[in-house]
Amino acid sequence: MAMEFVRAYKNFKKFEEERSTTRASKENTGRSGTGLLAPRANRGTAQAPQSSELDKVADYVQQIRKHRMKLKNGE
Amino acid sequence: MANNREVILDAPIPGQSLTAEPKSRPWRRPYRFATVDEAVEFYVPMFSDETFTGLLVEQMENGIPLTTIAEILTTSNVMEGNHSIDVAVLVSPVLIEAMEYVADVAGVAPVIGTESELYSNVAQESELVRRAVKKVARTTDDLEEMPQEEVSMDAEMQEDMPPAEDQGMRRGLMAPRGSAE
Repeated sequence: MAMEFVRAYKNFKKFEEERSTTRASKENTGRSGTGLLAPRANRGTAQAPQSSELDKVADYVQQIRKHRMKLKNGE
Repeated sequence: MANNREVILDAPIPGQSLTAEPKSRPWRRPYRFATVDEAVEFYVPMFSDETFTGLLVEQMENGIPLTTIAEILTTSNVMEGNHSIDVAVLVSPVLIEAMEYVADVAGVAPVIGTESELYSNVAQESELVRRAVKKVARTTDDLEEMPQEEVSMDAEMQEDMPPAEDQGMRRGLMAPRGSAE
């Protein structure tokens, strides 16, 4: 069972990396994801993107990591 | 092979889980926390409890991997019917990160548990054989060395020991009568 947990944790780490790279690439393009001039695939007018449970987990981990960074920097 | 047979015999028979009354087990009732958010709300306050964190730091100092601690924590809550096994797997990265935070505060370098993947390349049986050979080699070395060591120890002891006459054993009430000074 422990190996499955380790594997799951490793997969989560991969997911987190992919998530951060896709976010960074979106920010680099500079195009607005909303509005009529946005590319059709990214057009956010129809539906707001729903966050999955994994996204929620990644957000929680990010929050705790921020606190850890603050602690390490002595803030 | 013998071990594998035992494991198969110990395994539950098909349909055994259905022999208990419906809802008689905690994991056969609706879970208390159905989502990750609820589970996180349940777990995070634990990390502000001093007793819990003290025990946690103790385990981290003993070298118990964080993944194992997270697994124990979540599996016990699955058994108590607090959340499903899916939520347990989903919430474990949050718990591991929180444990790392506790380790940072306590100044401990924890073992995450991903390091154990290094051993996955080695077949389990070959690892067992390696350990057994090592153990046998150690015991044979001990057997060969024991008498020699004992002999040399005895010789050294005799050399170091002053003669009985010089030890002042003659003095006191327990000394032989003729030798009392």
